[in-house]
Amino acid sequence: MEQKYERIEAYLDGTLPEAERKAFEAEIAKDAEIAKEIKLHRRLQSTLGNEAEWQFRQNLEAISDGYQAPDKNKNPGKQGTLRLFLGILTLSILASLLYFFFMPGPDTPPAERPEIEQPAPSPTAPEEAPADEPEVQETTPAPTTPEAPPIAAIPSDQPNAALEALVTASPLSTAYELAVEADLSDPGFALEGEMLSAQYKADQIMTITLFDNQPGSYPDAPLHTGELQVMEIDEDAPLAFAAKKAYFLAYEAELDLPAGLYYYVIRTEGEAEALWVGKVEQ
Amino acid sequence: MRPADDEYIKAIQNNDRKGLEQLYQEFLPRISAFLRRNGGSDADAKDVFQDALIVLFKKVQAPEFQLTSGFYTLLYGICRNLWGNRLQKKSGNEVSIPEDYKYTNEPVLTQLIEQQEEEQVFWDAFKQLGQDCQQLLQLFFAKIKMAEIAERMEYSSVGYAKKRKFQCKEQLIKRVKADARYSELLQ
Repeated sequence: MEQKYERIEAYLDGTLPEAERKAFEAEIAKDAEIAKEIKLHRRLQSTLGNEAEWQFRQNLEAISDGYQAPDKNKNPGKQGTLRLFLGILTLSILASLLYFFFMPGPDTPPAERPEIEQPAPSPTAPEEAPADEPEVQETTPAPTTPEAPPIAAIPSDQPNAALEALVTASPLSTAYELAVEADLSDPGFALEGEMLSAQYKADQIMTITLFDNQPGSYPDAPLHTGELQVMEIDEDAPLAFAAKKAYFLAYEAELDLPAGLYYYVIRTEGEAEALWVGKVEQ
Repeated sequence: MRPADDEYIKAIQNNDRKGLEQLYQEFLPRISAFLRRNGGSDADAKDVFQDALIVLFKKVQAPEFQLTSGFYTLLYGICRNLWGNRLQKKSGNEVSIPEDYKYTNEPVLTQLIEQQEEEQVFWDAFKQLGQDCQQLLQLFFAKIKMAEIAERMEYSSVGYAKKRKFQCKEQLIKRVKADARYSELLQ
């Protein structure tokens, strides 16, 4: 077996003497098994002998081993506020339930009241908090005032947590599978990508809506809305996988936007459901 | 080509660690999301993503290479094809996997994806070998002379180096042949 390997290697290296090479080639022509074996040795050599690929793979493996999925809570301040808000809301609901459960009705005699003291109004209650304090303190929940605290503006380059989650989850539909990229360079906003869909119809309109990064901008305060160009890709291509068709998507608009982080949402016209949410920064 | 796309291509072309790390941060979460929705796990996503980058690594070496779509569009298309192929193989003939997982029309890319899948069988077999064999075969496949291999590996003789090389290669071939993908891919 060892000799067989050496013979194959010498043949592949071109170092087999002429007479031996000819004899070996005659053998290969007759024996499919040897031919297969040679093919395997050749492929092993060409694959595992590729120095550049070795280094590339080593690099990728090291990166992959140390890879941590990006923290969706990258913006702890914003996320903290959101979590705090949800916490307070939950507490408020619980407190309201407790209140109605234990609160006597108008005909309940005072003696039947449970021994729960209503807390005296605190001087640090939220409604008295300074107006410039963006975050509600967890220690001063307002069980009887469950209104949402005002949403504070964030710097224009800071991620919007709710939209970031949609960006990470995109494409959001299996019926309209999109892969899209956009940029905000001169002359404005440009987008291109591909879509796979069995449902898309030629007269269907796909829209793009642009939002800034501010809390509350999505979905009610769009900056810009437009219609995507949709073109079927190479109708004559041998698509054995014809259930879904591939489309090229494009959009361009001259927009004069200040520097900052923006999000764009793709939908089919008339539908609220987003198919793709992407982000773009300038 | 967008400036960021250009940077991504350069990172792959130059095997630039920082640029590649950025690529992972930027795009792997999206590929993971796609795979999770299509029967895969985060670990599958890492594998598919790595394989897709290797496909791109080979593609960008070609002198005629030109990015004709957005970078992510290309990357996503490759990942989708790789995952579609894997799902199909996993399912055998029992489960019908939609053929529309494959939609890349570019023949060169389809060929590179197939090549990557074939070669992965070799890399996977190789990774199962002991450290000593991996080191020895890496030198052997890099066409280092046996005398130098013996020296570098601190073997007692060239004869022993040759013997060891044979044993390691035999193990490698055995593992390749034992891989179920081998019979499908390399025949």
